[in-house]
Amino acid sequence: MTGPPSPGGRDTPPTVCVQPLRGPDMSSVIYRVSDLVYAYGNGPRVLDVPGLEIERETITGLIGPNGSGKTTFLKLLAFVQKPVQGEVRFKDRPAVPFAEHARFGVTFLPQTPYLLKRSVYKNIAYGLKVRGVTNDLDRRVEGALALVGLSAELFRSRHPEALSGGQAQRVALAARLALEPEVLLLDEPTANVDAESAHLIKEAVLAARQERGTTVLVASHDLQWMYEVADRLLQMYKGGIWEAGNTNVVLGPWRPGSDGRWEKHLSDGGRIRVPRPPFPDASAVIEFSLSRPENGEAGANILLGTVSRLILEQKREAVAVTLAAGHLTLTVRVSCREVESRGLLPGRQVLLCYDPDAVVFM
Amino acid sequence: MEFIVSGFLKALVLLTSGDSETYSAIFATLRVTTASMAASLLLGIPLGFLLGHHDFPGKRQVRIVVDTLLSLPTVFVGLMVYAFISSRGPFGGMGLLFTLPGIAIGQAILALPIVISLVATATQTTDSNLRTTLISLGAARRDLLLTSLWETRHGIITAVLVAYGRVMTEVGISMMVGGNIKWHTRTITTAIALETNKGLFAMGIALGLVLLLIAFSVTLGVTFLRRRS
Amino acid sequence: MKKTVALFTVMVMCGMAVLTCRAQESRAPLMMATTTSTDNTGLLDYLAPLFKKDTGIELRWTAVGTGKALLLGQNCDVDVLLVHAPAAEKEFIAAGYGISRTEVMYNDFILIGPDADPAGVKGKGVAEALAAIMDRQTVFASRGDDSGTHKMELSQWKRAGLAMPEGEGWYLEVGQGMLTTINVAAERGGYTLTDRGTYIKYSADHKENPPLKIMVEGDVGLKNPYSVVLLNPERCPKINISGAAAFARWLADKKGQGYVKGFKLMGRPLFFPNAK
Repeated sequence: MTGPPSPGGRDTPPTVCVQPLRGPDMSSVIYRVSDLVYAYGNGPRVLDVPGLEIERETITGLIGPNGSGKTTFLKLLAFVQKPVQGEVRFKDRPAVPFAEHARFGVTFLPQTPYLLKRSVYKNIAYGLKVRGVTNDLDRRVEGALALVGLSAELFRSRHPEALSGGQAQRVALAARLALEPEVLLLDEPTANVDAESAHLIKEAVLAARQERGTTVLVASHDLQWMYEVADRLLQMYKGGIWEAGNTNVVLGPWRPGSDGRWEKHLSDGGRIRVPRPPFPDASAVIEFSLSRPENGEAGANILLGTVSRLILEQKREAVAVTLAAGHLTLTVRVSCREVESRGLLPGRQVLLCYDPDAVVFM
Repeated sequence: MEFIVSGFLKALVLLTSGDSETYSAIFATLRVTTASMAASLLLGIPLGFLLGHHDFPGKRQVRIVVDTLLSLPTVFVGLMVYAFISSRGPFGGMGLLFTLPGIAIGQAILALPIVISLVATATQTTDSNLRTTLISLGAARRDLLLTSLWETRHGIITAVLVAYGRVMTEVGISMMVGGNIKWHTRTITTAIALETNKGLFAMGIALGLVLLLIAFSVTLGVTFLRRRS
Repeated sequence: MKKTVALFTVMVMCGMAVLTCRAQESRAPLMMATTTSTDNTGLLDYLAPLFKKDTGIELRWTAVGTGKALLLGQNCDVDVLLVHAPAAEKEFIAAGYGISRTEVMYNDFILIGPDADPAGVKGKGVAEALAAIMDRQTVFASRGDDSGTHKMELSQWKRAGLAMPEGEGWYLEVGQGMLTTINVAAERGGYTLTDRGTYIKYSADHKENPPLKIMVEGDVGLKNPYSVVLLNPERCPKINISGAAAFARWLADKKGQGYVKGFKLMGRPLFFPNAK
């Protein structure tokens, strides 16, 4: 039965009737990842993703510290590298580097892009020529340059040595936008560029999705931008991926505690309790929340935190609250209403609670 | 000392008077070096690129061997080639001994490690991001190869210049395999060896200067190519 | 990738094939191995056009040390030899590498040394001169390269009853051609044994006033006989045996002998025809 979506927006799952009708190759999932593993030689796994789906025309943000596997993940989705195990399905067909159905649809902007030793014009035209597109090259190149805010007359004949870091990054992005790809993967596109270039890059990325329905995956440390633009945020840590929500990673070391559990002492005297870790230095993945505990045992599972920052996640109508608990930095997400009702302001002390038995170790 | 000055003057005389022996040697040198360079480049550039680009078991060992062959003594190569193309050797029937093609084969063997090694180095030092970038722009394997080659063109040009220098100035192979036969396999370098052996140092200097002149023109041409790209 | 390499290799081989193509000759050329001293006299440059005129055969030669010339003959890499080392030639034929040697001419060896003549050998016989040189330990430059001249020199030490001065500081084994050896002797103010042909040229190059002058000549042991050695066609089926035989015949004939006699350098005869 068709009908309008129920009120409550994102909190209630959509009914079957609301899903738009799509043809056989127009499923809404553009990437389906299963049992994806990557490691260097016989070394430890740098990426381990049991399952993940990316929907078309979405902007997915990838956040996490350096070395968490973001670049590796993007390279696998870009089919620049082959996984050690598992598969990546693109448009419902498995794909590997040089696969015909993925080659032209996916493009990747590395963190330090390489510009060919030729003019800006030829750099942008390269991908087009590879696809056999030879008509209207001038118009396409100019259009791509315009998207990143570079004047065609000034820049088309310049060589890479004559470009600033930010200009080079923009040219690299233009080279990819000119291809009108279905998927745009970006690895830290605004790191190491000047503010103006960063602004233009962000605009171009957003325009790609708005105007051409490009699916975008961006890895970035610019949390402000991520919260602003992403439909979905994924958090990465040591090769694992989670939906960004209330999960936080707490590093070891852990010491044996009094009641059979292990614990970590914080600088303000607080303690985090966890079950026995596989080894003392293991990292614990813990879900925190601001809800009040119901049962009495909760006394042991409470932490005192001070609100340090509030950031609005526009797309999800939620607020990311960053708290300092001892020397730890934790993030939880609450609705806008909750912020108001709890009176969350920077400097305010609140209670965080968690379930020790639900703690998972990495 | 005076033979140096008279050498300079003699060089001018030889070139302007169109001395037939000298010009015969010049053409012999040009013919043989062009052939050997063409062969070593056609083989060496792809091999060097493969060596620099791909990872395979034993890659380091191959590199060590190639780099060691950079020090091949010319007389050694000449002797080895002689052993193969001599009448009693496996390729004796091809009539290559005492001919320019025979010399060209030996010189190609001399130049090949130079080309392979330098091209491999140039390929490896090219940004590893190049591969990522090209694939992300939709390059197929063939595009990847050709574009990567073009991107390392400066390294390739260096390899050409170094190999050419080695090949054009060598005597050991030309002497051993060519036999220094007047009008047929007498190159500039074997002519220099002959004249200095005879004690005619001025002539040796003169011919040496002629050789330098040729080298200079070639370098000029290659540098012009470098500028344009 | 493999396809490209294969294509390249094919291109290279085609290139090589093109290079290896040679035009057909009217009569097959005659490839000769001879010695550097012979070549340096210019005799062959003089004889080659005459030979071509009389027989239509183009003479080509490579000038190397006697040892190498014999080896080239042994390996069937040349068609004929023109050398001047009778003992080695006889061994060569005895071993079956050659079938005959035809003596065609001779020149002689001379002992040359500096004007100052530190060992006092001028005008003496060869044996005496060498003994004096050894006694005073004056510099002596030897070919040291197993060539005909070198073998001649070694036989002179033997004839004089002296041990070969191997390893002595004053005995320089140059290991190169005759002119280089002369130059080394001149540089070090010492003596050397050379064929007259090379010396005439050397003297002419120095405008008749070379640093080294003739000290000893005319000694009967110093004759330097040249022979044309024919290779064994059974061992070397592919060589130009008819051309080689033609050359031997031509040089030993009245006409060829006349040419040899007529060859002069600086107005002086260099070689003395002696074919029987």
